[in-house]
Amino acid sequence: MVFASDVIISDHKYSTVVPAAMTKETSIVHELTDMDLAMKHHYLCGLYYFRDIAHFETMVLKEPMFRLLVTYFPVAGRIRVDDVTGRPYIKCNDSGIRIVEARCNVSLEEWVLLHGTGVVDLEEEGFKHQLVPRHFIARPPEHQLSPLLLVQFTWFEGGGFSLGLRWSHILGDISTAVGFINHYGKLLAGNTILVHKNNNKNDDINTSNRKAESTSVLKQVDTSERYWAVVNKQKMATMSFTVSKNHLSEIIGSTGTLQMQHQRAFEIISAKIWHWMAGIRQDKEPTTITICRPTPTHNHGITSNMQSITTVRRLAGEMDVGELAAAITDAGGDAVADYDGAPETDVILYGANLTFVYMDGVEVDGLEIQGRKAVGVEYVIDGVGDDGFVLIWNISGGGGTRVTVVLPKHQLGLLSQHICASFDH
Amino acid sequence: MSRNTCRAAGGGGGWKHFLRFLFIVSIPMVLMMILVEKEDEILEFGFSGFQYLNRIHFFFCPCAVVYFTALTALVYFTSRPRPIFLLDYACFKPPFTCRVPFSTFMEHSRLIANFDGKSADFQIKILERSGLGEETCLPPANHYIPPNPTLESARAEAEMVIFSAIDDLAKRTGLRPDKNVDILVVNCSLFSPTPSLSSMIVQRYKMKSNVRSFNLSGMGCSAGLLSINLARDLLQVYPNSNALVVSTEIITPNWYGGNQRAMLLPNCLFRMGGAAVVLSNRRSESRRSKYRLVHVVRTHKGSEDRAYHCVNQEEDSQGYTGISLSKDLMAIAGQALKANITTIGPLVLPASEQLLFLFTLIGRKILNKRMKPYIPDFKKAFEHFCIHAGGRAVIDELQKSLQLSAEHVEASRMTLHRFGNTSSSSLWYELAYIEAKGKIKAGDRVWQIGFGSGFKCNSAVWKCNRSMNTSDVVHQHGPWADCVHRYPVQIPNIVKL
Repeated sequence: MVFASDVIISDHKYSTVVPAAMTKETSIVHELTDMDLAMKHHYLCGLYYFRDIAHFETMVLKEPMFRLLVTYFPVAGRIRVDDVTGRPYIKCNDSGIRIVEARCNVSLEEWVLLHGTGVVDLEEEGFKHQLVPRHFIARPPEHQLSPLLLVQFTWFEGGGFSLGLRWSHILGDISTAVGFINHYGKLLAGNTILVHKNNNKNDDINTSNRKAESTSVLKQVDTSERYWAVVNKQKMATMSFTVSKNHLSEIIGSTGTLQMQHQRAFEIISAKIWHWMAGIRQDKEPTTITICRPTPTHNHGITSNMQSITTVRRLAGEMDVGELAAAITDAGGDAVADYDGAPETDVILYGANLTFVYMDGVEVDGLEIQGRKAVGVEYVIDGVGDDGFVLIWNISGGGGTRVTVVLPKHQLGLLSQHICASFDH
Repeated sequence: MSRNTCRAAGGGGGWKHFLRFLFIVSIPMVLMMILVEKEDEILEFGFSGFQYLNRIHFFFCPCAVVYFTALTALVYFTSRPRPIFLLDYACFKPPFTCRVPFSTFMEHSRLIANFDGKSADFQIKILERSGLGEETCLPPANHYIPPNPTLESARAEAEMVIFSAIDDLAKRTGLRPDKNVDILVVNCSLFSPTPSLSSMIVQRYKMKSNVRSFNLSGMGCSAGLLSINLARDLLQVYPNSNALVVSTEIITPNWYGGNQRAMLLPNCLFRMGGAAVVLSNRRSESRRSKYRLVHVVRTHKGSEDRAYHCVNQEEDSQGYTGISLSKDLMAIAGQALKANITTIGPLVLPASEQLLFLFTLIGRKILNKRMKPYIPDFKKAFEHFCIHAGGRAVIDELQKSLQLSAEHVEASRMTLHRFGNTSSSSLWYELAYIEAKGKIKAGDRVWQIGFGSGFKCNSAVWKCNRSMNTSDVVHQHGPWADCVHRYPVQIPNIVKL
């Protein structure tokens, strides 16, 4: 019987991986859009667990990163602040990404038993922060030394292996990050074809800079003085669970609405959670939620925040799950924030309202190592506002839908009871 | 022992020994013949000495002339130095996984806990003015924060650098390291494990058991030419042989983690590099060899205290070991160069320059002390110059003192930019640059100048043996193959980081 106190992650080694080729002078400045700057307090944490991986040299793991960074060179850059306007941008000076290597003294199975399930306190356990590096971009003047991507390789006893990554959302949205790591997996497997070079994304900047329609999706929050990091009023916690097809059928059956049969897992699950949250948060019901979907990126290799953002407003009075789901499905448009990127204003997107992020058409668990897919994949956002955040993605191969929720601890505690009742049996 | 020497010398030298034997034996035999034949005349020697000599003269003259001419020719041909050819050479091209951009170096300097703020600032200031570019390379151990050098990682670096260079060289020349290497000289100043690096090479390439291997350590950045000198001297003794010379500096064990400024400089300037060279005294290789070695001149200023201490490996007060470079370095280098020039000048300069120098010297001593000393124009003696890329200051200083144009020192500056200070192998990267640019023609003379701890200044003079097709050179995957088209570059005085 292994206790949490027995587990030690040790032998930490820190190194840097840079682009294999020098970035051209002309590409050195990567302008950040207003949307990019609005996301600067969010950090995407991803974790992939692999079983039965034959041990290989760290350089074998690092080498494809060098090549990948030639295409994704802004990821290897550092934040700089314009002397005149004070606006942050990325200087693509090939500083590199940080790689952390570590060892765990227990097996992967034992680790997952201890840390893999249930409600996890984000502050204390930092979302499995021992397997995912915890790091925030420092405010000027130390911003020059803050890497925008950190990757951790952890070896467990008995052939277990985990790859954890911390991707600064300022670089790009979740689909960009997933695209990056899936590409890495392909290069690691020996595929030598690189995605074509990062094209000039000026054409697409305009979409992100459109003024807001009606509801503001961004909110100002308290942030850390030293870092671009959210300071929550309440303790936040996270929880992940899987929703199978059977579960979905049950929900549809229980609501008795014919409409829902045509809707997808995303809408059904988010409607359900919205419905529960209304019951939980009696002080302030979430009348508006934010929904983010990735835009189909024809030009891979672009690092930018280009996801489409919508809000859904709930009409006064009770709405049942079916009606909520319908409202979600019908919500169109692209409500982009009216944020001018002024550095003094610290705003967030995720958690400004209860935010649902659909990883529509994104192969979130696409990473393969030694021909094997991960046995477990977790993604969460570090730096979420108090209104909460839900990430929903489809497990490939029809394995169901994975849901990760970040909420204030006591709210999550109540929600977990509903979840356990409906989805885990 | 003599039997071994004869056998080892091979069939090539046997005929020379035979002829020498004949010569030695023939003198008393001839004398004997004279005495036996002219015995009675010798008795009357006192009376008819002159007549006797005349008769000998008439009889022996034509034979004697032929005999003594043949003898002289024999002595001349067997005692002159053998011509030494450089068949080809290969420089190590570091993989992209070892690349160190400026910003990464700067960031690491700030993050390494033991460095105080001043040390980090100092290293950054040096890097900005160093003349290095964004593509220089450090070994994998130095990419960690802090670097984690181990004996194993140092050996791994040595294997990567040396084996890669030798493999490349074998491909270019068709050399079989297991069969064709008779002499092996390795120089690596700051890493000297047991078994030695030369043994490591013998083991890897399964070299023959009578290979003559030498491992030179501790001899500094000028050791590349010392190794060439040693190989040349050995090739005088052993006929019909090939010598493999490997020059490198292993960076892994030599990162300095303390805060003494004089010892932080090497962190900023030294980078991964290595070269493998094949020298031969075989006549059969003369046609396809690239260069012929003309002179090697070595100057050691170690007898002077200041020179001896100017590059010094020591421990600082915290116990960190590093190489301390004194502020006198440039002045001492200048003096060492002067001493070297004094020896090499007469060997290479045309008579006109030598006379001019002599007259000016006399003039200064006798007529007018304030007369400016005449600096011989070495551009008349050499077409190409390879100055050790020790640092920007070294190249600037030599450009000034030898009155060279920017084009002459371009190879040195560009090598410093692309590869950093690779210590003893830098001269070979520079020569590879000149070749890759298509500037070298048959008959061109090259002057390689190396400086290093001791303090030593060593020179080698090469003569290009055959023309080189640029595309051949570049396609042979030299270290400049993928980037020479980008050079030369303008190197700013201070790089903005």
